[in-house]
Amino acid sequence: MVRVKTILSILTLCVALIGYLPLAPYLDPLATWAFPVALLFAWFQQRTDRSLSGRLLTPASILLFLYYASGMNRDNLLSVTANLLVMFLSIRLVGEKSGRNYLQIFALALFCLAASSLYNLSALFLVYLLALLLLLAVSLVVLTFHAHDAKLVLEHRQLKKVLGVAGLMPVAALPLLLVLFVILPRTQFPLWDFLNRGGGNRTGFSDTVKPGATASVSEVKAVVLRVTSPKIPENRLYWRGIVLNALQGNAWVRVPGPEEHSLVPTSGELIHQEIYPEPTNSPYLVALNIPRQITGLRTANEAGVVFKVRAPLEKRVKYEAVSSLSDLVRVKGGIDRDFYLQVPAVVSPRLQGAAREISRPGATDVEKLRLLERFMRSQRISYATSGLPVGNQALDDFLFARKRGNCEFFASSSALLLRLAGIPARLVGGYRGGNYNEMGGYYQVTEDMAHVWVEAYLDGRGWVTLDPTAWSIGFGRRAALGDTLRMYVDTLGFYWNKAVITYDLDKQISLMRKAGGAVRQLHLPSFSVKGALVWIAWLVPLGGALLWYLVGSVSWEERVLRRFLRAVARRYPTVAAEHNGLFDLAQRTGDPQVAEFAAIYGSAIYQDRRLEPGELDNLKQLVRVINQHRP
Amino acid sequence: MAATLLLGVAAVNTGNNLLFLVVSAMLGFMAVSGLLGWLNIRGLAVSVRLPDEVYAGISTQLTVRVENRKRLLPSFLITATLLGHPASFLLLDPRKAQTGSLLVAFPQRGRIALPVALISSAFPVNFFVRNIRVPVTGSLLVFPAPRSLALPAGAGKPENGNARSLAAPGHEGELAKISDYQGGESLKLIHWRLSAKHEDYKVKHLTSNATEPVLIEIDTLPGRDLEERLGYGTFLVNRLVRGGSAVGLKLAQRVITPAASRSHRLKLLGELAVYGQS
Repeated sequence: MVRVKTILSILTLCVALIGYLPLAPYLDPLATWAFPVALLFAWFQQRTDRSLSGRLLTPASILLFLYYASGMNRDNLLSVTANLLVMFLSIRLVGEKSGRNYLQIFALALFCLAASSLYNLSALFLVYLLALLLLLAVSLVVLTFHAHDAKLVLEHRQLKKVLGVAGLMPVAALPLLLVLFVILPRTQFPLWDFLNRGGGNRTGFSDTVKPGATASVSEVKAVVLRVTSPKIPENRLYWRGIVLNALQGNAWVRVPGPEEHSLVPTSGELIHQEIYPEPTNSPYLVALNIPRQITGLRTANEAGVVFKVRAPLEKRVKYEAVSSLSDLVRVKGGIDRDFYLQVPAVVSPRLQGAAREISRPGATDVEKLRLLERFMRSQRISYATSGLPVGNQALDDFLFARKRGNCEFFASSSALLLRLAGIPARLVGGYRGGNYNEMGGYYQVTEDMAHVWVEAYLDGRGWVTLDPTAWSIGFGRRAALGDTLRMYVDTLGFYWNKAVITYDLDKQISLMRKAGGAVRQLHLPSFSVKGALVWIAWLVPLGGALLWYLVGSVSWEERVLRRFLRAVARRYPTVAAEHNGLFDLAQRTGDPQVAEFAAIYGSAIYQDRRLEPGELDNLKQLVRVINQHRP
Repeated sequence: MAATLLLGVAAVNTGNNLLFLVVSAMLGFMAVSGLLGWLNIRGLAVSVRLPDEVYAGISTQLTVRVENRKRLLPSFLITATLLGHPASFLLLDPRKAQTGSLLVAFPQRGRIALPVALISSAFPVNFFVRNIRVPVTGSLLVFPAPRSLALPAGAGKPENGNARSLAAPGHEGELAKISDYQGGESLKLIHWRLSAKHEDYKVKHLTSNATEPVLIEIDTLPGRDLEERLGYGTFLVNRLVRGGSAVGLKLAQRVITPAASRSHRLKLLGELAVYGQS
């Protein structure tokens, strides 16, 4: 025997906990700690059947509201709301509990979960939502029993049935959820956007490359973007984001440069990609090197094959790109050589010496590139992300003393040497590599894959891609991200973003159009009378048989009785089989088989039980015998 | 409901698909709970078992039997209301029946067709109470409310009726003694079997019946109106028959001959119940 009130109390605590958990990381310390304390307190209250009076709690609620409301402004609206929701939930948990109070707790927990969706868009939300849906359904049903009689006690058998039917509701609601999610009306743009200022982790590459600023680079494995595309050779996995075209001191930056008309050749293999970036602070869109076109977002094309959006991608979006697997960008009408040949005022003598070595008199540009590679390789520099040279002379230190550095050092020094040698050069920032997810058919690019490489301008050809880091010792693909489990989890996250987070009005409309199109295209096959007749000849008896089976289906007992009566009627035509009782029939015919049938059948039917399989077989056998011994 | 609307507005405003997901979940849940509530009160059959004697104005216990005819789904928290009186059932298993009882008082005498039963339930969610009307077959005869009446001395009082009956000889009572045939006795009283064993005819001597047969004439009973007279009549019929008297009724146009059995009493009460009604 279980008290309904006990079940309801425990369910309520679970509901409140599920409302709180997703919101917990974003709360003030007061709310963060108030809830667990209230939960514990409520647990003990439930065991002792006591609660705090409303006279105490109502003023406390008002004071808390005033406290939080006083610090409210346009920017922290969400945070204040979230904290207040959790505080109210905590207070409700320890207070008196009537039916209305339970409903308040359920509503507050639901609002807490909803508020968490404004902070975090991860797939874990679905888990919380489904758990909450299940618990809420069961709780509401139990609450109905509680409202019927607060002191109700259920037997275990009854409880099982109640919980079973209650649990059925969310299961049945799931298909509806999917349908409603697709068709609920959406607007293209949010009406008020203030609630979305919450946050979320943002990633992105830097728009400044300054080797020597730090001694080590942290390697963060956070996902930056996911790209659906066919699998591409490892050495072509360069994701282009930004072009840094100017040197300011020791830093490579992007400045509004001279206009140039870039042409991405169509000779290379064209790769179509769907790109799902994580929210980022950068307005530059990333795509496989070299992108020809990006669609799905309003972009501005900038010089150097750079695509930029007006505002950083703070929300999850999707865009499509077409890239050419090429290492050349042609420029119609040439470039402003002077702009791309600017060098810092102070360059170390050793660097200048190296540049002179590369720019031997009479050497062509292509030869200069080869000389640069030879020089870099001859320095035997190691790829490293810690113990990096620092300070103003970092590049000099990198090339000639420490001989270790990351891609920023390789690219910066190579581009500087090229410029010193009279070859226009610039840096390209983005990512290199990617973990291909075979299940999802997409590349996962993480933060630690951020990379910088060089483009050198060769007269008559255009901007040629060079990756000086490849000339280092020890650079290669670092340990793969890993285990299959992580890939599975990432696949889930990817599909979550693809199917749910980025679902929008456009998709709704295109879905409707497709559906409409399919209906319009629906047409009957060419009609032929002969064919139709053949079909009807097949279908009518089939339908009739089906109908007979469905409507006229009878129990085994009745079937065997009918067969028996038919058999008796054939064998003893003078005895009206159908109008006599079974035992009467046995007496009249004097047939031992009929008598046996009557005995078996009667013993079952008159005891109001069904025939056992053995008995049924016996009866069928008897009917067969009666049929065989026809006079 | 309000929460769903609120979240719906929030979802549209923020364009946050997770809010759309929450709203979809709530709408889906509302639809399913509505369907479940609809199914919960469907497939129920109500029947009522009536006591033999129901008197107007006196609370009577009716047994209500509710059968869940659904194949799989149990019905929860069912209230069957009949004549404004509810009977509650916590759980009705599929293909099973349960009984509950109601105390009902019928204000009027006469034949009453059983009204429809109102089946209601707040299951699954206590926001709405859904109800459905289920016909209850059968009718019921409500006897007039009995009104007590002082009986004439010794008239069928159970405590002294038997004692008095022993004194007088009669034609219908028990065997008192057997004696020789005197010549004047009725042939009916000759004990043939015994006479065959003896040379003389033997005659049975019977006591008279417990009480004299009584014929109640409704129109001559005291009372300001017919209802009061019927009330007294009901009381008399019950009291006299229970006291062992044979009771008959004289109604406006017809006479019902006296008898003393229970079924006769119920027949008389039935006549009183519909007397004067078309």
